[in-house]
Parts: sequence; C-alpha cells; structure tokens
Amino acid sequence: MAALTQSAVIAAPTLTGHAHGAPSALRLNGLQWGIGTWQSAVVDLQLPPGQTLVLLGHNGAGKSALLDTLAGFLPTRAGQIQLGARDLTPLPPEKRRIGYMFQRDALFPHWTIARNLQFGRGARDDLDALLDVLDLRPWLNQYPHQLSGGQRQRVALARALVGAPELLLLDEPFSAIDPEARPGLRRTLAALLRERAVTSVLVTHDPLDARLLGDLVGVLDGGHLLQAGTPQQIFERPADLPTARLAGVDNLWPLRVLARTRIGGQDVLTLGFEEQAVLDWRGALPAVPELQPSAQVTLALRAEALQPCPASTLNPPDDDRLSLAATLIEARCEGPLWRLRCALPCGLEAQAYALPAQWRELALRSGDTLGLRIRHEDAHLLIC
Amino acid sequence: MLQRDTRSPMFWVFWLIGATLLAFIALPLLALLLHPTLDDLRQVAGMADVRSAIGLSLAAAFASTVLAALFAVPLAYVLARQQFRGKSVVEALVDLPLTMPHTIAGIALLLVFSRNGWLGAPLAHIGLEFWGTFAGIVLAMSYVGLPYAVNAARGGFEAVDLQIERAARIQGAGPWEVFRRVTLPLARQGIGTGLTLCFARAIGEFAAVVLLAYYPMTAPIRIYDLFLQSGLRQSVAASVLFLLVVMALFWGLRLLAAARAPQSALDRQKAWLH
Repeated sequence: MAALTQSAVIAAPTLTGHAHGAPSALRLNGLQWGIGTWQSAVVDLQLPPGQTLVLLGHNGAGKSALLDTLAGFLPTRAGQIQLGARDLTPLPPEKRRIGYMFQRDALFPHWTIARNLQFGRGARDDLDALLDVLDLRPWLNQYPHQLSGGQRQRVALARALVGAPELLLLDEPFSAIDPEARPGLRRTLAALLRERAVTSVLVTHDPLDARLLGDLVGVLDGGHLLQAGTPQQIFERPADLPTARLAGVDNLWPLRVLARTRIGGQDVLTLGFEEQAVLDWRGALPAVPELQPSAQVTLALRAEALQPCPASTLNPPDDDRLSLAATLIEARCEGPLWRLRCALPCGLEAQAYALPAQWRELALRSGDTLGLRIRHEDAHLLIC
Repeated sequence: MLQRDTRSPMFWVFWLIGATLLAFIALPLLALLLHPTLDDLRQVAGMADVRSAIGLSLAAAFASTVLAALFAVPLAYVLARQQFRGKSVVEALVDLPLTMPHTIAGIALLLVFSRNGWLGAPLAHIGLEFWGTFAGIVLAMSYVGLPYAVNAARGGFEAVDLQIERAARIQGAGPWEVFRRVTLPLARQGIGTGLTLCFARAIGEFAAVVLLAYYPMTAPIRIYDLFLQSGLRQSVAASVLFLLVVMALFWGLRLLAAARAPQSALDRQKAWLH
C-alpha cells in the first residue's frame, strides 16, 4: 500500500523559543523493542527539541512497550535511544532524567500528595509554579484515594514534570478518567507542553489527542511505524488504509478505476463500485503506474469534507467539486453537529456532517434524496 | 434486591452448616477452658518449669519469626516479581513443609542438623549445635513456619502495582530505595499476616521440635510430658495457661496493628460511608 501524496515525510515545524532551559532532541536510531516473543520492526525517528510526538495506535500496537523501553523498564532489542548528547540505552530508569505519566496514575498511595511530588527528583525542585498551573494546592495534604480520577491524573502529571525532566512520556493520560474531566486536563496538558517546551512522547488510541497535542504524529500498527508527520499530513493525507482507519477517516470507499481520460488538459479518473460508475475524479494525479483502468483504490473522505445540500442543486454539476446523489438513512445529533448516514445509488455508505441550521434548512427525513459535494482537494486516493 | 437475595432459604441452610463448623471449633476449646479450676491454674502457674517452657516457646517462636522475616521476605519478592525457568519447582519446594507430616520433617532435620548430620557436624566445629538446644528449637519451628511467611508476603508484594514501583524508579530512586520506601511499606499487610501465621505455626509446633530438641522443653512438649507423668488434670491446666498467654499475645498484636493502621484506611472507610 502506498499513498498517492508526496507529503508523507517528517517535516516538523521548528520551535522558536523555550521557556525552561534548552530541551533535548530525541533520536531513535534503528530502535527495536519487544516483550517476550513479540518484537517491533526497526524504527528510526527524530523528534526535535521541545516538541511533542503523539503515537497513535490500537491496543497491541506496541505503544506502551515503546514507552517502557524509552524509560528503561524494558531492554532494547536493537538500536539506540539518544536524548540530546546522551545515549540512554545503557542507563537504568533512575539515571535517564525522564518524567513518566502512567495510564493509571500510579501515585504512591501511602503518601500525601505533597510527599508524592517531593519524592526523588522532586525533593530538589521548586514546586510552586507547577502547583499553581495544575491547581494542586488544596490537595497537598490529602492522600491519593481521597481525590477524584481527574485530580489524581493532575497530580501524576505534576509528578512527571517535577525536577525538569529532559523527556516526558505520557501513556494514554486521559483514558482512566471520567469523560467529562478529559477536555479540562487535555487543555491543561496542551498549555503545559507549550509553556515548558519539554520534549514529549504521548501514546494514545484517540485521534483527538493526536490532533490537539501533537507537533508530530506517528502511526503505530503491530510494531511498525506506518507513517510519521505533522497532524495535518496524517489526518488529511494518510499513507495507507490502517493509518486512515486510525486517523478516524469516516468514509473509506473501496473503488476501481473504470477509465482514465484526459479532458481539456486535465486527467479524469472514472471510479466505480462493482462496475457501476460512482464519480469522476479530476485534478492533479501523481504519476503512479498502478493507476490504470481496473486498479483497486480506496477513496478516503472525512465526514466533514462531505457537504450535504438539496438534491435539486446538484445540476448543473460544479467543476470545482465532486457531486453525488444520496439517500438519507438516518441522522444523529453528535454534540454541535448532525451526523448523516447516507446510501449512494451503488450501495456504498457515506457519512457527512451538517451544522444544526443547515440540517433544519435541509428538512430531510429518512428515505429522502440529498446531494453531497466534495472539494477535490479533500478527497484522498489510496492504492490498495 | 441484594437484601432479598441474602434472605433466601439457601443462606439459612448455609448458615446451619456453617454453625456446625463453628461449634466444632468452639466446643473443644470451651471444654478445655472450663475444665481446670482456678486452683489448678494457680498450681501450674507456680511451677517454674511450666513458666520457663512457655517463655522458651515464646522466645523461640519470636526468633523463628525474625528468621522468617530475614529469609522469607526476599524470596517472596523474587517469586512475586520475577518469571524464571524452574519457578514452579521453587514454589513446590516452599510448600513442601506444608504437605510433609511434621514427624518426618523432624527426622529429616535430624539427619541434616544433628551432631553427625550433613550440616550439624561442620557447624558443631564453630560451636553451633542444634541437638537439644534453643537453636534446634528455632530451626524446627522455622522449618514448619516459613512457607506461611513466604506465601503471605508474596501475596502482599503481588498486590503492589508494578507501575507504582516503576514510577518511583523513573523519579530517580534506585531499586534498593524503591524497595525500602515504596514496596515494603505497601506490602506490609501481607508480610505482617505471613509473619503472624509463621509465629502461630511455630509456637504450637510439637513433632518437629520434639525430634530435634526434646530438651530444653517448649510448652507443647512440657504439656505432653505432664500428661504422661501426672495425667489429664495438670496437663489441661498447663494447656489453658499456655493458650491464654498465646491468645493474649495475638489479641495484643491485633490491637497494635489496628492502632498502627494508616490514617488513609480510616479515611477510606469514611469515604465509603459518605
């Protein structure tokens, strides 16, 4: 599988300034990690100083094992971990100067919050700024079990940050807390990462975390780094089908190239489903030899790229946009948006979003016909 | 719903069966406690050899518990945290004294630790003798008590979340400091239970002790000796005296443990109530 985009390379924006000293770059040189008989592929990766890498992957992708390897809890199978000028590979965890926020808070249950924060590296650190940012002062004399899940994770974040670690590791930091506490902690974490500019690696299975917190996003599947790049590259131009699924692309249509023509100096691909034409794709096509008639492709479309409109407005066709007729199956309110589940005449299912005002104007019921418009640049072709 | 379930006839039947078991435990104890007169008790309490036997039992059981703390706790931690080839063999070996008849354990100890035994002979050269000595009593008591200490302490260590130890390491503490300041305090309940069980098993041991060290007499051996020489009356009175001392000791330990329970446990109870 390969992406038809040329942009799936690591291209990190450079950081302009740091609030706290000079952060270190993280380099994984031919790193291979594993647990028991499971072993990852060899991975090379470079994370610029002060940036946050979000690793996105399902359970069993090897995300947490990678963090444990970076922390020194698991031995490396091959390769080297370089943090700034230091080679971390032979060092025990206590010598690596790493902060680690675990999935479950892993606070010391027999100590107060104050003592939790003052243990080890924290004993020599001035905690005032952290206590204020994370609003922990009221809890200093409490024990961890007296706090809510969200409060405990705030303490865990503070503990990971005490003593100015050179690298911060975060393992699914929001998965163990109540859904209503997540946005607040996510905002706090984003602000802290920006302000402290500490080089960080966060693993998650939630694309939202990757979008909001990542300067770089890596997609891990079965121990393979499928793609690494900016959030925009990953979410808008996923390199392959597993990446597109992990990035939460709602519409992944398995199509076939029925014909390739050239009209008015522009390439046109007629894409179909089970020999029935679905749409005419126009635009800049990369010169990929596989893209000949009968080639299998997947059209990746995020639901927000499909704009619902009255069926009557589809004619005359708009050259700038793809136009599709569809039948509404159902509409569901998802927070501030309506998610429309529609059926295309060929039998494929399409997911689209509508704003509440737009939904009211459309005045649709299940079984009604509607139009879907897609900007060419929002549609992404994957060869499969 | 839950309340209605607990009132079902099944629970009445189970209570009836359970009550039979409770009566089975309590009746012999009651018979024992009610049997001697105060005069009998006063008489055996006045016997210096009975008092010294009880004192010896307490001291030897205490010493074997200290040995258990030194030797069982490290092994328990290894078993709780490490996977290695032959682990099941080690586990079976730890449990062996539990499954072995204690008379056989005593004879086996005799073969190793008597004056001509495998280890007894070389150790005798440096002045450490086990045949008929306090050290022999401690050894026999430890042999039967150690499995309890290892298994309960292991349970205590297994209950400590590995991530908490890892959190301590990544914060900059070395393995020894993590064990001393984090793991050991968090596993103290399991270790305490193990050592209490070990002490309880040790203080009552008869068969293994009698084979390795008939003299000096521990309380169970002195009671048996009284039974053979003076009949039931004095041996019952000595038994009751010994039982009262041991029960008072365990009660005291329990109160001490409750008083030293961390404030957090009380708070947790309060949190539940709210």
